[in-house]
Amino acid sequence: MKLSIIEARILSLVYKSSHSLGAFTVYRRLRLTYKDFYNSINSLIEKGFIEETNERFQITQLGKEFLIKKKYYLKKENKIWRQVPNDFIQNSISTTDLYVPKIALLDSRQFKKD
Amino acid sequence: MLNKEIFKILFHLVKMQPWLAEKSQEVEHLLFNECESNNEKNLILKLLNRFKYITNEHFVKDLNQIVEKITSEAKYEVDNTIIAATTIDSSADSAQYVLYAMKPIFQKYDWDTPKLINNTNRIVREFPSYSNVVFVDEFIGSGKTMLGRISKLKRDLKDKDISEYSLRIYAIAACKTGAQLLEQEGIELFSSITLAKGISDYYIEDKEEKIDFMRRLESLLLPEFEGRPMPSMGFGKVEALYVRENGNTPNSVFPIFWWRYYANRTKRPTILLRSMGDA
Repeated sequence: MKLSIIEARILSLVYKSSHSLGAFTVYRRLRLTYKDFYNSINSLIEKGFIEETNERFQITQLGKEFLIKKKYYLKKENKIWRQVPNDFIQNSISTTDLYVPKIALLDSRQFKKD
Repeated sequence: MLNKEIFKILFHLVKMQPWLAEKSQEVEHLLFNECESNNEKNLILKLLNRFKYITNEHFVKDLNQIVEKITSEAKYEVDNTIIAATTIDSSADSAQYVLYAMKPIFQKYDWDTPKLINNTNRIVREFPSYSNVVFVDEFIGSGKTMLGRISKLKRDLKDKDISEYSLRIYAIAACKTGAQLLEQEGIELFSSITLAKGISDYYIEDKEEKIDFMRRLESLLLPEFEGRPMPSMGFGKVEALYVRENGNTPNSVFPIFWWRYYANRTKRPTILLRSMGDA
């Protein structure tokens, strides 16, 4: 059985909560559209991985076993906006290398820029 | 992002009406921008809860049920029965959609060559070879349109001196008001779903108060679109709460859910869709 990315994120979030997690908290923390929230929650309930009582979700034993087996909770989210594009990557400079400092970044009092 | 209040409302509403999960923004707009008081909000929530939503799956099931009923009726044979849409002009409508969708289902019931006619005006010329007329449609609201079609057909048949024939209507859904009107006129009707009036059939003492809430909401809407008046409380005042998945909402449904324009002619987000050309 496979989970969608959103389902895996919800399951992981509910698993990490101490007991149960409010529906609105799940919705707000994951910044989902209402449709995605509803569909994913429904799918997880149908699979028997979470239960809802009084607008709060709790992970079931089946859900815990599945999560641990698949290690969804260990998987890091792929944050593409944090990846530096290749064009911007250059060879790292050794700390003892000489380099030309940028004047604008020098301390004006120390270097008497005026 | 929805705020906590609307989220809580939707959370409970969507349990009863799952189709509204995709309409969260529109529901929020109606409840929090258009409703002025909690009384109006509560009324809209009650009405949304009472909606009859037909999924595609449900629709196909109902079509099968209707075709099964027609083909198993003793007097109906493939060579003596006309199955006709209630359409009278050249514009596309749901009766033709229903008729076309039934085509393969008739084959399933071994009616190899059913006489399917997509325009009421073409029925008469099939007489006297055929003697039974079965009208099909998706939705019957006030019943007045259907009654008009039947009256015209009866006149045309009378003009041709034809008196031996049978008439029956099959529809996916019918409002109680329309069904009663047709029944009073002695016309047989079968519908998979019968709909009560959304307000009048649910409230007794505070009925007028609820109607006033709805009228206040309707006062926000453009009173007329291209010469056609906004059908207050639904066309024929039948207060319908019906929608089919991907369907063109009938004008019998409360216009607050589908009428596209505000009184100042700006567009408004609507929970349901209806082609304003049919308004």
